[in-house]
Amino acid sequence: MDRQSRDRFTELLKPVARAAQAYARHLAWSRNDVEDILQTALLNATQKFGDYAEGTSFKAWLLQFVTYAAFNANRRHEQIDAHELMADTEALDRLSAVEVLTHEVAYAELLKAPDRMLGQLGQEIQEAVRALPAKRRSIFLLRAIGELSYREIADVLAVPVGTVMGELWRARKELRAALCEYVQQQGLLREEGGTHAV
Amino acid sequence: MQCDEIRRWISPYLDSELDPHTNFEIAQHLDGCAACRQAFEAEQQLETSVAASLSSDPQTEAAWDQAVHRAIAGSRSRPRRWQLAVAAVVLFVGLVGGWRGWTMARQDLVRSALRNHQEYLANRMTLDVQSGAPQTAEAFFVNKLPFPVRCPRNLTDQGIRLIGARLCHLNHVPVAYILYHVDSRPISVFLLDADSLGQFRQAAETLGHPDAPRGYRVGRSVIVTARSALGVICAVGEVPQATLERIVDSYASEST
Repeated sequence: MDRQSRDRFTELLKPVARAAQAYARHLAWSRNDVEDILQTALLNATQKFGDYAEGTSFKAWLLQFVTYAAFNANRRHEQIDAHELMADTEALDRLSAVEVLTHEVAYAELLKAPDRMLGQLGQEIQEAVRALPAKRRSIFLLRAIGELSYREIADVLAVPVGTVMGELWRARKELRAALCEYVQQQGLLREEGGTHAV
Repeated sequence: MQCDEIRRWISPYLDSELDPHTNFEIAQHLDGCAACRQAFEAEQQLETSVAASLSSDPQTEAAWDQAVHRAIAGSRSRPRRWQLAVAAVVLFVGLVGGWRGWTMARQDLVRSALRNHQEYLANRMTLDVQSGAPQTAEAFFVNKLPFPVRCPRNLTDQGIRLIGARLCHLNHVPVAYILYHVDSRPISVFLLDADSLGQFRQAAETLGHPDAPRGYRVGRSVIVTARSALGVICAVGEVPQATLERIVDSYASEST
């Protein structure tokens, strides 16, 4: 990489640094892998920088390297991944009528004051994201943190746009269900004077 | 479209992913339906709050800075033959003409600080505390060192970001090690008290001497040292000397 390319690469990195860091942090199975993931992603990105087309989204281009590095690092934890994939992701569809109603009440309360409720659930949100299956988590993070379009996400992960839409919908549904659980478990509705009708 | 149907499009609508026609239809519905509008706004707020809670942290920021530094350093193109020849000539002239400077760079404190800085670059050293807050770094050193550590508050304004700190040893002398980053390039700052300077015979002779240089260059690294009311400050990094001088001067003025 010549000096001019190096300077350009460094310049392009600055505005996307925060998104790339947060993406790697929440995509990695293990916090201990984050440093390796970033190191590998950036080394590969510098080596391939000649392939980057000016005018296209540098963030999407870079997050592709972070994704590959994270997926590779996560392979070391395949057993956990497999276990997680076997977990019943359709459980939501089989909730009892009372559970559905409870979730709806909690969700309605959550939507009334998301900032106040979520302010108390920082750690729980991260855990809920971590509990998503690998690809779903990646798609959700690329949208929520990377703010990539569906097309860009599809290109990063080499999947159809329809898959991105579907997985994003499922991810949001699962996250919201998990957040409702936390809200109920921690009694936030009662404490905050919510309806808590069920 | 009815409310039920409208709400099915909530995600792609908020993500600005719908075709103009559907987008317009939903926008029109929201104009006239307070319940749907409220639901859409709340969803948007929930999404924003979740995204905000998934931010980065100082540890990841430090890992990022280090990764950028290494990736950039690793990407330097190999020198061509003629460049090597020019470098050899420059080195020869430099050795002959700058013998005194080189000797100074061999000064014990400079050498020891540089070695520690390189340990950090080689990832063989971790920080005891990772924080961008000067008071956290200061609190870490309380009761660990025989002198108070005061970190300047004005460095962030100059793009010099505090990353963390650790206790380390130079020539068996316990010193405060404080790490900064400037544009992803690490800068190591070492603080030791005046009594410990006796362990660095060459530094004790040269520091404060009117003829002694403030800055030394060893390869790509620059080292700046200075006396302060409390002891000695030494900053090392692959940055312009002026940047290190700003740091050292800020520390010196903190201890007066």
